[in-house]
Amino acid sequence: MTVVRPDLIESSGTRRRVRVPVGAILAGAVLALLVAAALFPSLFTSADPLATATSESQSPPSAAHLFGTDRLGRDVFSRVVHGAGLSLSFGFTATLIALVVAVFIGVASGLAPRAVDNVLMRVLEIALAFPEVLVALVVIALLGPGTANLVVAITIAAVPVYARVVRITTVQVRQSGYVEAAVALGQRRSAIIVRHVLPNVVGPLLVLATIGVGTAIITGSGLSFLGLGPSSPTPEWGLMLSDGRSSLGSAWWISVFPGLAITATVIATTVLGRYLQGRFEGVTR
Amino acid sequence: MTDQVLARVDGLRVSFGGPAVVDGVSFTLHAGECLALVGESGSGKTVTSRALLGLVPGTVRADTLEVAGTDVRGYDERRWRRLRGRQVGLVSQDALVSLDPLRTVGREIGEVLRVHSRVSRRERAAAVRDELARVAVPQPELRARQYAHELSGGLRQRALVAAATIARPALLIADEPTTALDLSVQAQVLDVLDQLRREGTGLLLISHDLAVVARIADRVAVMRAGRIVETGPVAEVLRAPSHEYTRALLDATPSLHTKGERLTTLPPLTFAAPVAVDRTRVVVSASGLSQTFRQPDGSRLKAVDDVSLELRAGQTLGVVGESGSGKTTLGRIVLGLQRPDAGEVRLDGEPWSTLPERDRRPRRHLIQAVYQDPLSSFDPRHTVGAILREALALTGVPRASRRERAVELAAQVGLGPDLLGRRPLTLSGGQRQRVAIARALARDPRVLVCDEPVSALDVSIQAQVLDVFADIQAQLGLAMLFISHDLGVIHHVSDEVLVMRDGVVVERGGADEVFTSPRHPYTQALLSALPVTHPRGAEPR
Repeated sequence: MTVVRPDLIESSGTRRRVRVPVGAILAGAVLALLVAAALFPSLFTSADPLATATSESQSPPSAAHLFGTDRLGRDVFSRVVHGAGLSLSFGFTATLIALVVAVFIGVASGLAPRAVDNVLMRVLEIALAFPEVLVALVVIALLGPGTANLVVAITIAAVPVYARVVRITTVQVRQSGYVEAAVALGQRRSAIIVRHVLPNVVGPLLVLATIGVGTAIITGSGLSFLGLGPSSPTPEWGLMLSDGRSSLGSAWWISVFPGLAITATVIATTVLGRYLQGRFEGVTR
Repeated sequence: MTDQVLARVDGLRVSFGGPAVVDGVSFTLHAGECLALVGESGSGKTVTSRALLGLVPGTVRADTLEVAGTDVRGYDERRWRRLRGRQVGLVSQDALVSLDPLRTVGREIGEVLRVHSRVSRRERAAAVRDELARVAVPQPELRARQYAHELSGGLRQRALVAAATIARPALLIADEPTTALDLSVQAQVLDVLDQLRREGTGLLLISHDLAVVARIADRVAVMRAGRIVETGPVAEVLRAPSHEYTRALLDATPSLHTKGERLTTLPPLTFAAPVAVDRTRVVVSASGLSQTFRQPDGSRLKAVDDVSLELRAGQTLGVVGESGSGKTTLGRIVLGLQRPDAGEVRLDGEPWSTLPERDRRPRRHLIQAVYQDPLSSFDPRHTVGAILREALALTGVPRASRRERAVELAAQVGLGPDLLGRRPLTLSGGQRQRVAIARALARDPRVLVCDEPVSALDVSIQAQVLDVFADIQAQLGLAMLFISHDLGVIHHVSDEVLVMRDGVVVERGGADEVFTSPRHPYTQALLSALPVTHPRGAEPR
């Protein structure tokens, strides 16, 4: 989810190549690999993630099974690769839906009369007072476990943070010289929102969302670790972590590899997000 | 003036890796003398002055670089530090930025003494008090205990002068010391600097403002692109400039003697269909406008107090006043961006300020605005073309012909078609202001409200933009409300003038009448503070 704002790159005056730090390049490469695994898992492995082979139960990493096999003899490497799709989609889908909802709430709040704005913001602040995981847990408790409900839960947990950012940017944009200039030009209110407010609000938000994807993935894996997401035998990192937990002493590879996958994903999105943030914030004027 | 040489510079060259920013500058400065470095932004005047302080981050080379008789070439940081403040003082432009917000003014000034001499705390406090008094700060004991934000702009600037002079440097560098200040305050600060010079300080003044230079400098060096193009006694250079650049600079400066003349030698802009207007027809009339703001401390501020005005087709009403006089608020009320607490603005004889925005919108095109900072009035994501096309779309130009019309519009204000793909951030100040004017013209307005539209521009760019305004007014018959703090600019553009102070119109009348025989004491004070030593004014015409 690399967000490039061509306007900002061009507007830096001279189009000098900016040196991208190695960390950001590495993070981008890791993410690209993960996204590829999520979209085309068969490119990476031919083994069936669901095929059991009791004879090969809990065999350690080898040439045949790169990451070893689990209790039912399923290939862990294949399951990690195939699990990428579900785990990443938790992060990306939830973040995307959360962004849409947050932009709607934030812009509305930022443009609404003060009384409405105040009420909306206090409600969001109350939601913010609880950790995201706790909010997601409450939602699942109400809706019941399952893949779809898990996404809904992560989404609801993520909305308040984004909505507040959107609202603050909206207020800034609303008071900006160019919105006043558009009013003086005779531009309609709806056109001002679509042409000037939305694009200028979404830009900085996308950078923040890159970091948010990592958080959403952690929340998703965490909840499915607790058994509140997809159920066995679906390959999903959190679930695999949970499966391997009991045999950590005898077969560390069952849980360590999915765990590494989660860690790598989150670190990569965070590094990339921080880089984009440092790069674009402050330039936006 | 004594013969003691405080600074001797010969063949100074400075570069920051690329081509030389200062390229072979030479001058000498004597005690009790004021040398002014004049030039537009980027001419290298500031870099030249910083070379005397060892504050240039680039490569400095010189055949001679002497401060108070000592060769300072090859000085290391430690030796520069001993020189700064004690031998060479620096007064910079923005006192609020230059003074530490967390320390009292007294401590800030005393710091210089603490660094350079061993005196007791008590002696230091006394010295600070004396120094503040010397730079004409009233109640120095009180002021020394206050913080920078508690002082007015003029007092802050004088405190900065005190900090620069307390260690009695023989040489004082004043870099645009009065640029951010109102005219009456500017006069006070200049008086202080002039007094220091008379007491024997050598003053290196850096300014883009020829009027300031004419007021206190003995000699002037005109800089352009890193070189001194002309140097000599002030009266001589300003009255009979020998270099064409100096002449262009002088011609470009609007003053009491440029009215009705073009400021640049560029050909006038031409419009396809010049409009003939009835110059007596009132387009905007405002009566009894008042606006009160609640300030952070709860008190009420009357920003605009019972102001009435009329704008006529093809004519310019100039509004002049110092910062905080309410002129910007007045402009916003006329534009219909701010609803006045009392009074009414009528546009073309019909209600305007009393309408809800929805009903104002269909007639918004009649009255357009040009702001001081055009950059902030453009959406940072839009190109020049997109900015103009948005305005054209609102005017009802069909999509197919918008691109073509945008090119025409740009050409009308003297912008090439290649600029349409650029973003305003990459344009120069003058180009940005032209885009703003083109955008306003795209709406086919009858009235233009201009709030300090040239205040952020260099003299020659300002001259170009003022000529653009004159051209469009002459040919399109626009009524203009022109807001500025600059008396020279106001006199140059206005047919009629309003002088505002604390929200009240203290004087109004024909521009020539107000400027030649001001009746109100405030106008008289403003005009006397105006450093009119314009060379062409000195000559009988």
